[in-house]
Amino acid sequence: MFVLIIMLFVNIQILIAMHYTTVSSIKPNGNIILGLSIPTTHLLDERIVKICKELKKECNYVLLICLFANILMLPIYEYASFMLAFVLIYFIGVMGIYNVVFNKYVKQLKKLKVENEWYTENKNILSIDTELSRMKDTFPISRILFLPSFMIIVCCMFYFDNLFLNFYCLTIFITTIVLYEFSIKLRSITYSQNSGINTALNKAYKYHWSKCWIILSYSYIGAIPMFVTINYDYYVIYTVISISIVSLITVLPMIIADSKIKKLRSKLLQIENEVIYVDEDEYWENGNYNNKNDSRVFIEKRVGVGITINTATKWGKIINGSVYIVLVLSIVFILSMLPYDFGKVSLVFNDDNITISAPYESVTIEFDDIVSIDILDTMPSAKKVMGTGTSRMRIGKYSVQDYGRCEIYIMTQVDPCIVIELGNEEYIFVNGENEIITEQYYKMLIEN
Amino acid sequence: MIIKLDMNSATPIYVQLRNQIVLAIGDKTLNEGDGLPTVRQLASDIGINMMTVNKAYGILKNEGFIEIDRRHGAKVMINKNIQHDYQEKMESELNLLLTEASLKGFDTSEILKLCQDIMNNLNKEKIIGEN
Repeated sequence: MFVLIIMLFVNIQILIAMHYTTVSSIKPNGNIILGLSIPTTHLLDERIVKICKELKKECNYVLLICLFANILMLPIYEYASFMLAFVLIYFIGVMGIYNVVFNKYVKQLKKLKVENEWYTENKNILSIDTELSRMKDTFPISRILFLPSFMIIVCCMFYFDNLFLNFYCLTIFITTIVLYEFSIKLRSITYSQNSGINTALNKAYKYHWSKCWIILSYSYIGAIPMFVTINYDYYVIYTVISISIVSLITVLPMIIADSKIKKLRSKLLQIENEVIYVDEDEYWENGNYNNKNDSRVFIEKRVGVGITINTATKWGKIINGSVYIVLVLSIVFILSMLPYDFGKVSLVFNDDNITISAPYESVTIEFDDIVSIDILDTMPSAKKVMGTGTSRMRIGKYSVQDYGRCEIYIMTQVDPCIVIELGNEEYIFVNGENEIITEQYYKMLIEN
Repeated sequence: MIIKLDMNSATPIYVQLRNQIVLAIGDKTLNEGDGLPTVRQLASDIGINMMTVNKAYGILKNEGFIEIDRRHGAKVMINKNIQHDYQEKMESELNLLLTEASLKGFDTSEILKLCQDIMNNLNKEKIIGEN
């Protein structure tokens, strides 16, 4: 049931993010509305307002439908592979539906724009403020503030000695540094003939985003309880708490940075008389930027929060391609989980040894190596070191309470388990697909 | 100063860049001693290769409009000692321009009036800039 709660939490997060992104496009960002550039004098045209209202209404229906679609998880929540497949399909589905709805209204607005010839005068004219270009390197917060984060990671490495935690912390750290570097190297935007306005807006952008990535470089701290307490008894509770903390730490600074920048932009541009608007709609298709005359890889998104890629550049194509690679790898991973949902743990008795076979794992034990055999009513608490743990089976190396590091081959829902003691205080925990088979295995082991 | 570049124009970017900086110096938007961005800063903001900006700055330096400091970027510095070279260049360019104007039907008085207007305008901006 806890897995169901975690997955529901993940799905709702995806849904809210997509809904917020799509609905936020109806709020003008400079002269951009629904990702299209419209002359500011026409932004409040009643036909545009009507299109925006209809988009919002349809998005609300989509939100409700997608929310109820989570009910489909109920019959499959015991199967890890089906649940992962559902989350993947849900993610693609939610993105697809919102994109279809969004594009429907963008098409309507585009048609209106063409019919009324609402083109901003500076088509294909790039404006550069030299004063702004000169000052831009002083806008971001110094990268030296990443240093304490790195030092905490080094401390965690020595203190906890947990491979997954180290990997997770380093991944977060490196990702935030990369995003910081890309954010501060984004092109400065000339909003107006007034250098003061340009400087203030570009400074706010680089300052808030650099601050956001620095804060997020510390976000792994929220996940430490999850990794440190991967104890079967409390694991799920800590996971839910950790995911909630990390999600909040991740999403909040981004939303705050974005809203502060947009608020300042609309405030300053409202009082400015010499605003420069550029029409670059021809380079934007379905929220993607494709301009082969522009060498920048990353640019500010027109719809939503953060940055997007220029798919016409070499790196843009590589990043775009890697998204599909990740998708294929996710499908392969889900398929590889199938044996854990439909396979079983079994013991094969030979003349002088036994073979324990489980999905992707098998081990042979010579009878002579066995020191003692015992059967326990329930499996003691176990903390995963390396291996797999689903609601159906746990296979791999676990740190078991009172026994230390052991190999376990356990069907989770079957209570009794056999403990095989080998020399050097090594233990193997194993059981069968039900209580009767487990007891049969125990009897056969004793006899041999 | 605001540089405006037409990305679809047949005029190369480095020529547009050079021309706009010269015009800005002429109308006193840029004054002697004013700083310009470094080649790297300008290239990343325009989204073009650094060589293109380097080429424009190189031309401006050779023509005596700017000085390039490796650490602090470029600076407006008008070198009036290269008048002789410039006179030759101006003669050759005016020759072509006036021939074209003549072929298009402009007479001497019209061309002189146009030149006078442009110079008056420049001098007016110069006085405003100095004040």
